[in-house]
Amino acid sequence: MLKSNVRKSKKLLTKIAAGFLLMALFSTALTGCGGEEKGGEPADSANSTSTPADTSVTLPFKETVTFRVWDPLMSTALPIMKNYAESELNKELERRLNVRIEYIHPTEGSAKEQFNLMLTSGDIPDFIVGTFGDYPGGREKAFEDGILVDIKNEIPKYAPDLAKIYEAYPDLLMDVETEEGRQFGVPFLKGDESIYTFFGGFLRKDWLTELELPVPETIDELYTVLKAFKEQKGATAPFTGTVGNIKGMYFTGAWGINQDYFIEDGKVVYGAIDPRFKEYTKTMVKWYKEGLLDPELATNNTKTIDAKITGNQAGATVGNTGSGLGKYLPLMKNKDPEFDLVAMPYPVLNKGDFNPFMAKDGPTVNNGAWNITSACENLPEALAFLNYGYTKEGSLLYNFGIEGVSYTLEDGYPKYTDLVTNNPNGQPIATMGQYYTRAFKDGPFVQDKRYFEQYMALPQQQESLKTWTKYAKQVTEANKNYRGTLTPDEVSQTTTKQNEINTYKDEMFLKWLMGKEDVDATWDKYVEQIKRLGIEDIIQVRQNAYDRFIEKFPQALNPQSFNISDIFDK
Amino acid sequence: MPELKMQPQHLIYKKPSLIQAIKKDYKKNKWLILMALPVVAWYILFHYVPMYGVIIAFKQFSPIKGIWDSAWVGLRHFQDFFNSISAWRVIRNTLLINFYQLLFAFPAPIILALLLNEVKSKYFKKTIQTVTYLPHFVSTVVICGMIIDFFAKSGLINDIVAYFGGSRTIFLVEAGWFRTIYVGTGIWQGVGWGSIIYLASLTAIDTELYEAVTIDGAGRWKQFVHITLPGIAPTIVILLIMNIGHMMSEGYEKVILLYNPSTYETADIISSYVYRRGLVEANYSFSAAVGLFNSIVNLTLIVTANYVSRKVNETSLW
Amino acid sequence: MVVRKTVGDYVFDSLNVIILAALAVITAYPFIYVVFASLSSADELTAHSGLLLKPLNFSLEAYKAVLENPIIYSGYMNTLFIVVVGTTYNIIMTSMGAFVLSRKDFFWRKLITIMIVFTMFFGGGLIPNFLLVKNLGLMDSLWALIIPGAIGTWNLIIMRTAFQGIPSGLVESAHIDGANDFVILFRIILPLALPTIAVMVLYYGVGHWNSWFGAMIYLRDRELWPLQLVLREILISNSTDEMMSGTVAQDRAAIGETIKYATIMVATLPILLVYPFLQKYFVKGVMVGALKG
Repeated sequence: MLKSNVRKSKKLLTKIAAGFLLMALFSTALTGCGGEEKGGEPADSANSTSTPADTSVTLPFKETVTFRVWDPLMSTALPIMKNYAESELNKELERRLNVRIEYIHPTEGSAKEQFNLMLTSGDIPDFIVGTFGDYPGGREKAFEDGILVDIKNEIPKYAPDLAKIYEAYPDLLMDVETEEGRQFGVPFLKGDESIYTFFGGFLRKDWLTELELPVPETIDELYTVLKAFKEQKGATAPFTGTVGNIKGMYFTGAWGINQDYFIEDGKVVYGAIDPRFKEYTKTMVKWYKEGLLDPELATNNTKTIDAKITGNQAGATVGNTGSGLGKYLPLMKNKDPEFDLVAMPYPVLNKGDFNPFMAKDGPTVNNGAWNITSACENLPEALAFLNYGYTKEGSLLYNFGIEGVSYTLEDGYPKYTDLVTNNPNGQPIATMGQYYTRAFKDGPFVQDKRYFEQYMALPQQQESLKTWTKYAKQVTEANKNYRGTLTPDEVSQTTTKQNEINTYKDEMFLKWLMGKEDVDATWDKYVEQIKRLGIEDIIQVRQNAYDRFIEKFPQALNPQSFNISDIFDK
Repeated sequence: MPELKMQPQHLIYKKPSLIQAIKKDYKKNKWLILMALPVVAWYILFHYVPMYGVIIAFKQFSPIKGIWDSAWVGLRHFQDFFNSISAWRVIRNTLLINFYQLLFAFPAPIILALLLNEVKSKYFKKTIQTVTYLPHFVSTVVICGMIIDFFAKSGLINDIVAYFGGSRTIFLVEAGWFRTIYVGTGIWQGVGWGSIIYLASLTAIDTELYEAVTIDGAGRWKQFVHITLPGIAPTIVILLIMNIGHMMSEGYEKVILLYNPSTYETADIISSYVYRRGLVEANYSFSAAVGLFNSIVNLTLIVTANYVSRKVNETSLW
Repeated sequence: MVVRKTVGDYVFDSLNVIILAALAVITAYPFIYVVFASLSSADELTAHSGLLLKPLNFSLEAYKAVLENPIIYSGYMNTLFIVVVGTTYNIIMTSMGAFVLSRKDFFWRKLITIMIVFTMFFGGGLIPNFLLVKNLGLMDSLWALIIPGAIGTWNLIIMRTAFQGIPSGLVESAHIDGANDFVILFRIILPLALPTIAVMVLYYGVGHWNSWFGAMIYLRDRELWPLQLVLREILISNSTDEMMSGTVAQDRAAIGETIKYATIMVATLPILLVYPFLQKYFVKGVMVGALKG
């Protein structure tokens, strides 16, 4: 009996083992599946001959080199491609340089979540496009964690054309180099000051003309205009937008502040608890109460804003030259021939003042930077490829695409063909532009102002750029934007506090705006609460970071303006 | 067990030992064991293996170092949570939303089922059922898109309010409205589907019982009180247990699609807070700590509810 | 039952019909509105306020725009695969588990039940699950949306209860006839529990159809996206894009409002077409599951 039991349990064991084996087979089969679909990833890039470090790398590569890059895909590209790898530009890069770029595009609206998960998964591509602002602990932490690599010393060796640009315009180093003197990637550069700014306020020109009002320059004038829009044009949301638009620098700038950190006389100031912020808030509350601001600010999105502007419910908003003016004007041309828009300068309190905070991009655009990760096994090739965008030839390709296909040279001026500007399949320029070039997005190259000239074809758009940069020179001189990077320690010290403060601040602002709480009555309590949440510690930390920055880059105190594109003409 | 007799030491009666019971069961149910294996293995792999991950609640999780090598920080994340201004608020909101759901959303399908049960026309009954089941099948993304649209200032609801002379309210920025909208649309989504289970137990009631009391002259109200209600009571109880057990585990999906800073006051619940702090702000450890706290509360709740139900009703989940 | 009706009965019955009819209208109208709005001309819809009783200036433009989007097509195919393969896998695993737990004579039953129920209330959280899926090599594969979700514990319990309702004599006599448990489950029990299975197919199928979160976490390749993730991207507009370059496709913006409704229709219609046919199983299925919880 005992024996039979033993035999039986042996049998049982065999069966259990068989079952597990079955499952193991099952799971390996699955693993096989997953692996297959990914294709040969880093192996591909690894097998190309790793050139000895001191030998220069030549383009085109002898063997195809593959790079993977994390790069958000713009929804405007979707009508024509699901992945940038399908673009003509990418195919041309492969033909010219023998380089194959594979893109990983995060889901729109969940890019942050997916970025974090990608890092957690440990499957990191060669390049990551972006600021690394979402990285827990910041960019410096990403370096400490071994994700980013310092390429500063490699740039002169493998990216000589980029090195030349840095040499000619050393101020650029403030943007690409950390306080410790490290460089993690190559920047997206804007070639000309005229394309730095493309964001600002605009309003219904036809209404202004009808009401015989001038384009408003001050807060008071804007108040008069919005009031007239409401009372005489029946606008239910005279100024539309999002809470961010109201709270953003656009309006606060008139009071000389923003609601975040900025610099005043060498000191870090937290705008949201500044007395001037109180004055600003009271003005907004008044406007909201009188129905001059869209009552749905808190829930608006692009679609509801569009509907209000095209539906004559709103007369003013803020937006971009392209996606604002460039969207509404053509849209309304047939529907309402009277419809016209005009840009207004960044508002100020009194005539003669200037608004020290204007949206300004460049010369470097941080969220377009191509960072190089430790997963990149052939750094020299990577840099050689990236360098191509900073050569004259590469610049033409990235900005205008393929000669004879997407552009033709007319007296030395690269002019987009009808394939891009007037596509036979009816695709808009922003879509076709991404198919042939990267000028309509960002990338490792110098963006050419001639792209913008052709893109911003409407006179209202051209004019808006001039209007919005009205105070550009004074803004540069005032130099109030916060600069400086927190160390990983400082980040971990302040993150939780800052999150709490942000949540509280956002909520209070909305409560005031909607009249739930009185500004005068609760202001002191509000400041007190933010202090209790630790704002003073954060300001101190930020001050230290700013001081370190100035110590490393004293030139930041005297910003110069320059146009990088000039380098190609020298 | 005839074998026992052959062994003298077992002459004295003994309960079959654990090993023997296992052996006996194996002899009888070997195929069943084989069938259980993949299921048990799946539960171990996809439920029990990841449980080790709760330790990140006590660590400062770094994506690069991974779970094991991240530094221990003890109870810091729990302290941070309970010291934050959000802690009390998200707990309160979670409980309140669930309380209102128990109050309004829980009885709604019962009432619907009872009303449907009284309908004589089969065709009418079926139509109502088909229609009311419908929202259950539509994804949260779509439902929330529709809610945002209909409750906007120029949306359908406001159009109707304005038509009757009311003034327009922007429902989704009013903290005071959030719970009403959340629970109300929840009822709209789930009332039909939720009624199925009660309809099912209603049909299971023996019709002879009704006939018997009808002969005794009982009217519909009496039938309802004496037969219908007791008939579905066990179902109500078990679902109530489930609901109470889930009081603290309201999902974040619908909340994050509907809330905004102006409604955090009433809308931010534990899971949405965990989602925001964890996945969006990459504060995995902090959010794991909050999630762990939440799990423990849930577990306590459900075990208690089950215990109570077993005592009171002799109905329990396990 | 032939019963004499009292006045009270008549009043109650009429009220009942009115209440239920009103409920049906409230439930159905939002969907009807979506249908009409998706078939309307964009301009008129923007200008319109109040109830829609028919499409405004009938137009199929929005549907054209939605169906031209190549990613909708691949989304459909992926969702179809997930629903079909995933649901089949769900049913096999769940019914095996349920059968095991329904066998009162099974020694391990209690232990396994406790082990399974415990998972309903306690889990490791997102990150370890994510890492597990990644270590199994399931990243960027549709299997990541299928394997980890093999069993819904609540469904398992419902199915177990349904199986318990089947007379145990059936199983015993089949055993005596020499059938093993797999044969008994798939040949005898499942056919008997068909209504429950139908409901389970629906639960799981709808779950797969409507889910997007797993796809967002595990799939990077747009080719693999299921429909709901595509839908989410279309319905949620993002401003970061515009900050960088500055335009949106003008043609798409022009029919933005109607396109939203058309997308909803395209993504929801298949389910709405299928479920009424399964409806007859709902009551039967859930009934078996609910009896004596």
